[in-house]
Amino acid sequence: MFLGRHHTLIHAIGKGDRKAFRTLYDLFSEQVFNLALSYVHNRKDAEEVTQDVFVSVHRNAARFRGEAAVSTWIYRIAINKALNRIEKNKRTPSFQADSTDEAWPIFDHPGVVLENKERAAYLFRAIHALPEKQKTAFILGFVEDLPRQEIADVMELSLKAVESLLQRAKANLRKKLEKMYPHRRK
Amino acid sequence: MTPAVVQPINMSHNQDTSPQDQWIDSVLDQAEGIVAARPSPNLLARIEQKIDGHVPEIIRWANWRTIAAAAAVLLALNFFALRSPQSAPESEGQTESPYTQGELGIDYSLYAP
Repeated sequence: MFLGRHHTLIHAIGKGDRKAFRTLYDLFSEQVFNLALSYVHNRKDAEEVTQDVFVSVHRNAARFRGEAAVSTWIYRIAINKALNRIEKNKRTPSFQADSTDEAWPIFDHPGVVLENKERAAYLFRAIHALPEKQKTAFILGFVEDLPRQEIADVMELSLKAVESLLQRAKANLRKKLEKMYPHRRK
Repeated sequence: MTPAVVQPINMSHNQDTSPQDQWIDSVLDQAEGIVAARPSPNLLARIEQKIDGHVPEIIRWANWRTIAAAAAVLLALNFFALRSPQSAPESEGQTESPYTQGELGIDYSLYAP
């Protein structure tokens, strides 16, 4: 377990150790970036979210009390920053409006191969339309493959609540995808 | 981060294999096929630039000591100034304030025409 090492890094960052900050960035930047991509669906916004996350980590490192795992703390910051970015983007013309007038982000996920891009875009569009908690549970559980206990820790919920959110998220996704089916009869 | 445990979405409706359900299952399967992407190599430099442009919120311990010492000196000066007999202004020879004379408001009609 790297728990002790991670806490030592945060403690050092709190004291202004730039080398420790770079080490933490190397350890977590990819996870943060990919989590951000699941929310905002394009490289530019995901990088801005990642930037906001690490600036926030640097600013708040001295106040980190170590009650949660560092990864849990970083995930929480990343989710908040990503959700804030979505809210901010809703007010800009970079979002597309579909037939239901529901704004959704331009899909340019670098982790999706070209042949799957169309179906992945449908998936992320459906995820985007989920209620906030269901969205977060689904992304952490099925896109990021986090263990249920870690999802519960990040979301500050019980395991039972997480399971319930995942079930509802799956059911809602099916309903939303039914409406998006390309050969659907009008 | 803890190692990822692969938990299949397992949302397929086995009994119902309509083209629509097949399509939905294939879309949902995309969640498991996403390759980890990497941020741009210059992102760390951009983050550090942003951090360096930020005024640190933490005040050094040495500064705190200076602030505390200055505050203590000010407090002590105020205390002695108040305790000193010379600090009390002599009232002799001065015109008494209308408030102490009781001239104002004697009939409680200050604002009366």
